[in-house]
Amino acid sequence: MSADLEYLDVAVIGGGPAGISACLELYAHDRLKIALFEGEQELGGMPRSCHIFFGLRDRKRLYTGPSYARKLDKLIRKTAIRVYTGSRVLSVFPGGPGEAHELHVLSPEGPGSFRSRFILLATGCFESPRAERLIPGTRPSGIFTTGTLQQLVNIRRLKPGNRALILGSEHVALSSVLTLRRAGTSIAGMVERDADLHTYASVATPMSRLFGFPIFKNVTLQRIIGNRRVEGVELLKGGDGRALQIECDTVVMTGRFRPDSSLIDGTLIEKDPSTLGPAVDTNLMTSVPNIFAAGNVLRGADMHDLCALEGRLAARSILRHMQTTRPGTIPSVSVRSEKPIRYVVPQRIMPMPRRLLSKFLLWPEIQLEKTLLRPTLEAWCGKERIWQGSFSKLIGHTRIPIPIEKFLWDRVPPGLGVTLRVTQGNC
Amino acid sequence: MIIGGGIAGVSIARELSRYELDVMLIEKEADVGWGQTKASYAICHPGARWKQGTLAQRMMAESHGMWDQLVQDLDIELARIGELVLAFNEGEIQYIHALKKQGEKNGIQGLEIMDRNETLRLEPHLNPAVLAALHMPTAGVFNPFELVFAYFENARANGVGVLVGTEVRGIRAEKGGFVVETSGAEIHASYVVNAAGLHAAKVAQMADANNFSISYETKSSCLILDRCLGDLVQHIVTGVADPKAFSRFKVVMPTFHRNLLLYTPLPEPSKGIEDRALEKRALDLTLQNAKLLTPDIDFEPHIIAAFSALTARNTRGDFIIEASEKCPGFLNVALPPPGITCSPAIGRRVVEILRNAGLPLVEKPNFNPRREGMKRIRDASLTEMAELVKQDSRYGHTVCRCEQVSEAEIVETIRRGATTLDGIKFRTRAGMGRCQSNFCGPEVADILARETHQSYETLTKFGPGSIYVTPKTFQRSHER
Repeated sequence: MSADLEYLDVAVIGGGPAGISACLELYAHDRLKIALFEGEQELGGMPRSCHIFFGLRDRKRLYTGPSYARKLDKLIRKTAIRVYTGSRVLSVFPGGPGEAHELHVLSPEGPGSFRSRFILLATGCFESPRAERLIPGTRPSGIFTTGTLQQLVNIRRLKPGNRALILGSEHVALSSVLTLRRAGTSIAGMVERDADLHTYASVATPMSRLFGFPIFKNVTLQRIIGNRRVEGVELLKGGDGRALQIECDTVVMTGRFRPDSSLIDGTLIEKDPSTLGPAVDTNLMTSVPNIFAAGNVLRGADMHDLCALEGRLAARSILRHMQTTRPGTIPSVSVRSEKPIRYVVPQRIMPMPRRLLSKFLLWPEIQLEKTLLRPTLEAWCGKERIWQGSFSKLIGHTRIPIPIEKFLWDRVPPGLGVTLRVTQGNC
Repeated sequence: MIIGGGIAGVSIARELSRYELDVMLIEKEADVGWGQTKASYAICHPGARWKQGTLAQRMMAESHGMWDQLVQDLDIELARIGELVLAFNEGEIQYIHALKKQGEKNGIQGLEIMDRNETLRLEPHLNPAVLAALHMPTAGVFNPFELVFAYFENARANGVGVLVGTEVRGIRAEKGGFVVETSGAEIHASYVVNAAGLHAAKVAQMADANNFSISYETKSSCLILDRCLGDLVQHIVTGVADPKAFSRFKVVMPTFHRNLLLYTPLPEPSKGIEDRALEKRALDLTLQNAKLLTPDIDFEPHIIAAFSALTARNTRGDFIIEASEKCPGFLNVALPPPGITCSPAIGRRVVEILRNAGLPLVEKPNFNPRREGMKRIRDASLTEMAELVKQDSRYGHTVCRCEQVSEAEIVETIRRGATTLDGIKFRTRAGMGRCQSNFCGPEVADILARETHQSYETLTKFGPGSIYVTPKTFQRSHER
């Protein structure tokens, strides 16, 4: 990398499923000057340290995590796209209207600056740390997130501990189970604060039987015990308020993903306070023209293949924007959500059919804070209800698509936003 | 012999290293600064809160003029951002006026009572119910970890011997001095400085030199928030927590690195010196108190670290820095807050006491007061980065993405004495960002294992017992 300013058409930040898929899509349509920046030494992102079930919905076959990452790597290396691995983007400086944006990048060859007409942020997400979950107790060694656990076990072949408690019950908790078992760590239990799991009980229950661990629902982690290394935890049952002590030397915190959006901090790029990632419109463009975002940086974790599809979608939007001379003329409507809806993505929508690219990528999507039984979702514009839908069960912390083609769009006056809320439903 | 590697011990060690002496610092933890110092809110107090004539106040006043030189010499991080003490009712208005009066008596410059509008203009996110505030412009914030390491490194460079991970088990007098029994070897010393912090009374008792005791340990709770909130508050914002005690207050402030720090003393004392667990109600109280000061900041999603802090208060209610009468040659140093603020003067005082006790002090001709700080990618401009990477390409390899810490910095801290994962964290900030080492944890471990020629099983987070992974790798299963 040279220290001189280099000019690009598109700079893609993040070499995971979303970033690479976007690059491939851009390249397939137009021979642009594209560069992909990845901070790690290898491309592939999160799937590199995960194990089974990859590639179903984007590549239409089954891969392991590492082989999926290798496949993406191989595909992009066949193109003329410049791939900078080991290159950390330090900051993004959005340009003014009509100007190119600037990037500062650091790699073992030195720092470099790039100017690019378009930027795609695909920096992914991570699990929120212990403190954000306000878990009381001591602060010993032996507390990991699934992300760290997978790096230790699946990449370094290390055994994190002898007996682990899993906190949280999102899909990723199941991945933790498999990772721990792979390392030969026994599982002391899985703890979920809500009354219902945030993943498919039909998978979690057989798994708990197979590996012989209890699933605690409606139970909170009251404290972590141990001064040097974790010695155990105290759980509190929500029903009768009884405390329960469990011995373990490891605690794995799963889920509660949040976008790795530090690049937009201090910039003009608008951050959605509920996702903590950049707010986007249906074209995946952020509040700054020609800066786009795709994948888990928008929301926290979703499946890698949906991120890949989203990357492709962003690539198509970028291509479209390159051809239009007057961008941003399409009217869009802002969408907000109220609790217990955690967020809605994208944050600005257009009255259009929701199947944009693939039958799998339904938009917009929401996530609920907790699993709800028989809920009714509603969309409101001012005092007018423009849509209502009833469901038998909606699982918390998973993607729920909203059928905006059914909205009564003629009742949405220009300038007004739409609010999504839940009206009924017990958890 | 100095017992205890907290702020008191390292600052005394550095001061003693000016003289032709054989000085040894002994610390029971694996690294220095891991007791009360680590959990400090790291305010550089102007000194209004302490009564005139107390030793704490005198030390503070003396230290005040020494900081600028020390910041230069030791290349440490201090930002004088000023403090606002808020008053929400008539009683608290009286309180801040009394505080101002005491501060002026103590010779503090620039103290000013501000009305509501002025206060809100300075800090727009404050609770609009505020009636007035006392502005103390000379208050500052340190990077407390860096400060301890700076004293420590400089003392070591000037010949102070260091024994970390070594606990003092007993002290007995012998002719012309003491024998200190440790978890390692026995050490003979002519003079012993007891700077053992929370354990100071216990250590004093070993030598039968205890004319004080640590009466109680106050416990407080501290939350660190993501840097994205750090600019919402510009000053150290404090509120009255106990109208009877100036030294107990709740805080919302930016740290040196522009994280937001929330701090609250807890109403009940700790259950003992090992009581480091943070209770749920302490967390709730901290948030609740912070919300009283700055109600419109959404703290919860941005909490990245939470810990409790124990503070040793002794029965005399003031600093104790003196030679024991019962046991000549044995010095007790027991510092309730604000130890960090007073650290430059404490070393000098200890030197004076030793001089009076008959220790011949000859200045070293080759004493080097300067310690070179770490080169940090985070603080470098693009040109400086290019220069650093040219020297060592590992500066271009970012390990901690949240705090922008490079591999070269981690290697450098290991050279400077870090032996544990936390040792690296507190020196470089790798893992102190918003992901709290989710990404970089294993990579930092890789580097520590490589540089110290250890296997993973022997790596610890903070010394014996705090192992990182269990001592067994497993076999590669069939893999595609």
